[in-house]
Amino acid sequence: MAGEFEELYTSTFGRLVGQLFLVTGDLHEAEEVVQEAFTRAAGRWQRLREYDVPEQWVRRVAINLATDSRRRVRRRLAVLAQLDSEAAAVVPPISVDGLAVAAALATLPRRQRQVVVLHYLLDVPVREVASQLSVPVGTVKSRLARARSALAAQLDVEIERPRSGHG
Amino acid sequence: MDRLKDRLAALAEEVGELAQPPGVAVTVWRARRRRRRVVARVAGVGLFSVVVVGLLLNPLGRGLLDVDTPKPYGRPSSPATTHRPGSLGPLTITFRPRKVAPGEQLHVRGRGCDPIRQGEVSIDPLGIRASVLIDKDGRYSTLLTVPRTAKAGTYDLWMRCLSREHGDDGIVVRDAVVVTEPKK
Repeated sequence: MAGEFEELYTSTFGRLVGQLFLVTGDLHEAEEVVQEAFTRAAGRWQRLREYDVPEQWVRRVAINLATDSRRRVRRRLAVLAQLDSEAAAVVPPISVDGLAVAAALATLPRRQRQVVVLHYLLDVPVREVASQLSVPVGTVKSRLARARSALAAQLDVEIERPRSGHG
Repeated sequence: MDRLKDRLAALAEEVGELAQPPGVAVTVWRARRRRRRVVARVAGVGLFSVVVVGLLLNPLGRGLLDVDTPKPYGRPSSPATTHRPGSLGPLTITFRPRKVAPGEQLHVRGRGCDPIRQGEVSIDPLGIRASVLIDKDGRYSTLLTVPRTAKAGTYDLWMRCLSREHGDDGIVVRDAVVVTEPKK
């Protein structure tokens, strides 16, 4: 068990944190939710190891954790309790372009960031996004439309129309 | 103009390279610790439930407080009336005085029996039995003498009306009579 799980962990942790950072906008929180998702995966590894791509399960759990309002409230309270200057230093040292993208994403509600990452970064079709987040397809489309419009106004980017997932 | 996907991917990759993963051993240890906690919690809830249910439904079916409490031999919570349908209303029993000393008499009367039949009044377990006649209105009345040897306590006073219709079981009513200490 240890060998396979360790391989998955070491090969995907950084990638998942990078993807989750786009949702959370906070490096520490991204690391935290990914770590939590891996902890849950370790507890179910006998079943997960049979999956074709266990990384997808971990990512899905991490993304759901990132939008868990109770968890966010707990984290905010913890940060407020610390009132530590380090608590604000959550934006990693990244390139200027990366900062621009991160700043644009930060203007979106977290649930819009969630669908943007799933659909535009990970190429998850709209229907699957809806299924994964347990929301109607129309909700996903409307979130994508608002996010697209907001990002287009801030970033000089080309944004494709959403793909529904058939075919 | 760049594609959004490319810029998102570049940012994710950039941040991912900065991520500092804790050792995998930490993650596995956390998972095991969590599993132990869940098991302990489930076991605790299960044990608590068993204890609570066990206390509420003890084998005697009397609840926690009744396990070792002897039931006083006293007035029944409700008269044990096995009255059967009749035209004279329910069988009743009254007596005076409510408390009687050994050697004294008890006046027992009531109504509701089949008319012009025979009934029986008894005090258990004093062994007192007396036949009574039922009048045309279903009423009865008799005097019982409490034995001088009767010990103080609460006893059941029974009235049973015999009838052809209901057989020997007849119709029954019960009340409680208190026998006091002997008068000096």
